[in-house]
Amino acid sequence: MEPVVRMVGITKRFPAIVANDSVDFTLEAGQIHALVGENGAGKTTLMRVLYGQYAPDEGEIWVGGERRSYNVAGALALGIGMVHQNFMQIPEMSIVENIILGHTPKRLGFVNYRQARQRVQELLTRFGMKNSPDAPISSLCVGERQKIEIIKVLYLGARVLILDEPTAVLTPQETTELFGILRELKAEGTSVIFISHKLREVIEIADRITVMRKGRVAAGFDGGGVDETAVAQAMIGKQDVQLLQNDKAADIGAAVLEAKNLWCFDGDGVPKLRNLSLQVRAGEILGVGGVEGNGQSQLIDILVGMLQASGGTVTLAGEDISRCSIRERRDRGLGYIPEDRMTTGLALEGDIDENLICGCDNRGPFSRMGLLMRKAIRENTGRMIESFDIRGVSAGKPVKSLSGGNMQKIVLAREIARNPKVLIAAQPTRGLDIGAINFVREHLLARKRGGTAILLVSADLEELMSLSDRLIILYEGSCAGEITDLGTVSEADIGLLMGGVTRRKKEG
Amino acid sequence: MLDFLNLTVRLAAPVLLVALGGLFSLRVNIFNIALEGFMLFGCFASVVGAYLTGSVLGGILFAAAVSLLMTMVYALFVFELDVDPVICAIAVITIAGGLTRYLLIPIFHTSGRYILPPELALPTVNLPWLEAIPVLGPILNNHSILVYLALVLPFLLHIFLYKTDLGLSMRSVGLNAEAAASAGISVKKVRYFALAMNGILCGLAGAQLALSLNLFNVGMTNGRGFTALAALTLTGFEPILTLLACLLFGASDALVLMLSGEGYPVQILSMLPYVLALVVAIVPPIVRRLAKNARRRRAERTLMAPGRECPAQE
Repeated sequence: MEPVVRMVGITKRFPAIVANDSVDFTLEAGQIHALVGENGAGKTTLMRVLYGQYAPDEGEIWVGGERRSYNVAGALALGIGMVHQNFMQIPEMSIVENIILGHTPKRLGFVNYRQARQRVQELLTRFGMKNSPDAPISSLCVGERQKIEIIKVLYLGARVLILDEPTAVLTPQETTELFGILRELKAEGTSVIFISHKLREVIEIADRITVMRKGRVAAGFDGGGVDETAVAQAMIGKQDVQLLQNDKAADIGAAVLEAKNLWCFDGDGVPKLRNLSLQVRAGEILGVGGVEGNGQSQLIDILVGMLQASGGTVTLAGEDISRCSIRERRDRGLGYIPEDRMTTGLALEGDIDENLICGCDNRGPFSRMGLLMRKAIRENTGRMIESFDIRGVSAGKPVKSLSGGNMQKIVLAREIARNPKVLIAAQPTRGLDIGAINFVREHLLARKRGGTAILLVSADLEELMSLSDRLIILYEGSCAGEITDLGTVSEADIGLLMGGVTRRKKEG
Repeated sequence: MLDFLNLTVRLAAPVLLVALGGLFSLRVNIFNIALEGFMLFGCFASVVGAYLTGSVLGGILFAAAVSLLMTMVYALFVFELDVDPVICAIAVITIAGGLTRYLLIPIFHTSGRYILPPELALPTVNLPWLEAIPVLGPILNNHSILVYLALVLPFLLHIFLYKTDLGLSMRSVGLNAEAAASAGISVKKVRYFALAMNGILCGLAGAQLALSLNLFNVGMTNGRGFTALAALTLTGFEPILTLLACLLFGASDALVLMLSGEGYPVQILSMLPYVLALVVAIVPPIVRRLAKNARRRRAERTLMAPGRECPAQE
């Protein structure tokens, strides 16, 4: 049978990089085809070419046996729809409006809302959603919003569904539900392209796996009984794929950072933290998990001093720092690796010298009588480049030209070199490749051995489970459960805690 | 009193027309602060058009055309050349002020002000059946066609925004252009359309202002473009609410006219519309802020009461 989509020799160049280098890709009818690879391997670019968002520089696209070139509207007309990683939705508008956007049914020049509502209602019912078609998107939770994205594409009669990292924002239970839907679609003859870098999921769902690395197809596997390590090795292209683990056998000291009865409300009076208490002890990594938006960012902001809590106290090494400014907290030994290195972690327009002394720029040896000491700063930079293996930097050049891994190394260097008593690390490995992830892990574990109390906030369950000594799960701003012995729980158990289905009483 | 309301409607019309024009821009997320400049072009062009063609209609059409042309130039700079919209708007306002002042000299051989012959004034429409309706009649009768257009347009615009395909596209472009583009909507086309409408309406606003007085005066828009922006921001770009806000501004203008006729000091009175615009722009955010704080404090009191366990556990 003729494949639904055949991409031949696709090459796409961007100013600095060849994102796709003569890539071949074939999709059969009713196939779930996984496209895996590290960040920057070219998966998303290839799919944007297929979706008509990018025109390929070279190569041919055959859809249903005919050679085509088209834009987004053309792709939709050919039955190719894409669900983007960050949802293309307008929260202020209703479900119906979001779904019919750009493809409204019309009657006498007006939008036929009645017909649209009816069709959307049918689709909602089919997906087991009880929301009204007129409810605004902003009233939905993440899992529901993702379903809306899929409905949006199906509404247009898509026969090819491209999903870009659909499970990144879902709990394990929501993922299972999504997979159910995908299997149903497959049974109806819809083809699905599934971009992911979570290998376990890919192996569970895919009929065919294509692995991309550095803009090329590195390997292809048929689904069913594929070896996870084989896929992983194809993905990163070296033999050593083992991520560093916490040996969990270090000696843990007294509590260094302590938060007691933290409360926090947003502008509408909605509680974001409810009576949350936690302790991080010297030489311990406390993992904080949970679906994003359950109070993690408020917790971090309060601990760092960017947000004032409505109630509760924060103590560092026995001293109450609730009223301290950010600088005072840092001076007392608080280090912080922010979630977003591009906005909070670094000054992108500044060079490496400036970024490395941020926060210590007002005192010796970097500053005397208000003047910056060029020589001391340069020496410091040289030391850091050496000990943190920062590559691609040159003096005076803005750090924004660096790769994600090297940016994160600068943040890491700045925060760790100060030898903090407490280190707050928010999503420290997000968006990094395996080499850089291991580098970050190595340094976190080294700090832990050196006696720093580390609070690790992450959306990556695997990371939390392999690095933490102890784990708490946040749900709606309070602690849904504390796990002291990580060997005894499964990811599914944690998933239930994340979804607020179960709670664990605090032990001890 | 009825005279006062009739005057209110008449004085509100130019502000309303500019505001509705600006609404198109704001709805596609272009914060067009150049409304003042486009309207001034409209005023001048309407007088030139009426003078050259010898007809009022010629003046109106010329005003719309010139203002449309200017917005298209603005759009070209903003969309194609990526010039900062605010910088571009400042340029438009400055050029509008300077160019209209200068062009008075070569075209009309006068400076500062040009008065058209009275037969080129915008005629008012007298509808006997309308006059017969009590209260509403005397308020709504005896206005120019542009005033009637301004009164009807908000309702048409409401239908356009919420019932038509293009209206939906416009709203989506304004709220999230990336999402709109990924739905296959041509964001650029929608934005050009919106700016074109903006231009035409600013031109009509200028024509109403200048031709109802059959004169052009240097800087005669006198902040109406900015007042319109205040009205829009206040109402969240909702056409019908914008109508009400503009009527409020019209009323303050009318009050100034009537009171100064009775010997109250003009200098103080003429501040009234601007003070009103300022109040209208400042008060809502303050009220919102206070309400937010109150809500938060209420939540704190109820949830953080001592001795209560974590509420999510109940």
